[in-house]
Amino acid sequence: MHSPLRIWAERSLLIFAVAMIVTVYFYVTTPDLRDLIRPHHCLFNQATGLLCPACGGTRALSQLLSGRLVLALNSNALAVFILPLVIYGTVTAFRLVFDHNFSPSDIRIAPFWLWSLLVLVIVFWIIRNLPLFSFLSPI
Amino acid sequence: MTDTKPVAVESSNNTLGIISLIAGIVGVLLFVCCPYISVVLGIVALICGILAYQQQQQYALAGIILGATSILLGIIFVIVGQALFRELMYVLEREMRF
Repeated sequence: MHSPLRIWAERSLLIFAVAMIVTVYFYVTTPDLRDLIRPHHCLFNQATGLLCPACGGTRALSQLLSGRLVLALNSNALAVFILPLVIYGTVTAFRLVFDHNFSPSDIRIAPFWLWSLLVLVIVFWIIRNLPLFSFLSPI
Repeated sequence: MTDTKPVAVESSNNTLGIISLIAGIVGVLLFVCCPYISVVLGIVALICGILAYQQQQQYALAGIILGATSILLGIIFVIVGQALFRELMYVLEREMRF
């Protein structure tokens, strides 16, 4: 029952998992490595001076990995809230490929929550640029 | 008659189609600021879109198109984004000076 596509997907996901574990391990254990990683500067921010929804995302993840939750929330609250969803998505992708009893039609999330996610991203984009919500912009 | 029942049940579950569409929309929205995220979201949208298309779900085709667009724009911006931006800013500054 192993189709070439499934074998290809299994290998890709395994390589992805190993790469993620190695990256997180070195990132957490080697402080010097953090200085070497130069985040890609946001072109939208450079051009307009405004913040995009992902601005501060790298800083938020870095602070979260160092255990500083409040600073991470200050850098990019959306990234912190979306992280569990990303983990759920990754687990689901692994289950789809490796668990043969799990099919794509078993994924069921109420459409309301999915549309809410899109609205959340757009609303976060707008309000973090307003002076009233300046606490949502990274330091 | 019995053949139509599973199809009706399948079509009421549009989760994959909506995931594909939303990942595609967010991917296309973010291609200027973070093309790496855009490529990842594009791949998610494309895979979910293809799976949803096989199950005849709603929004599947829109998700596939947006996902492909997102991947393409993301890759273009990863390669030429910074250079293109610098050139654009240089031209704008020169125009504003004169």
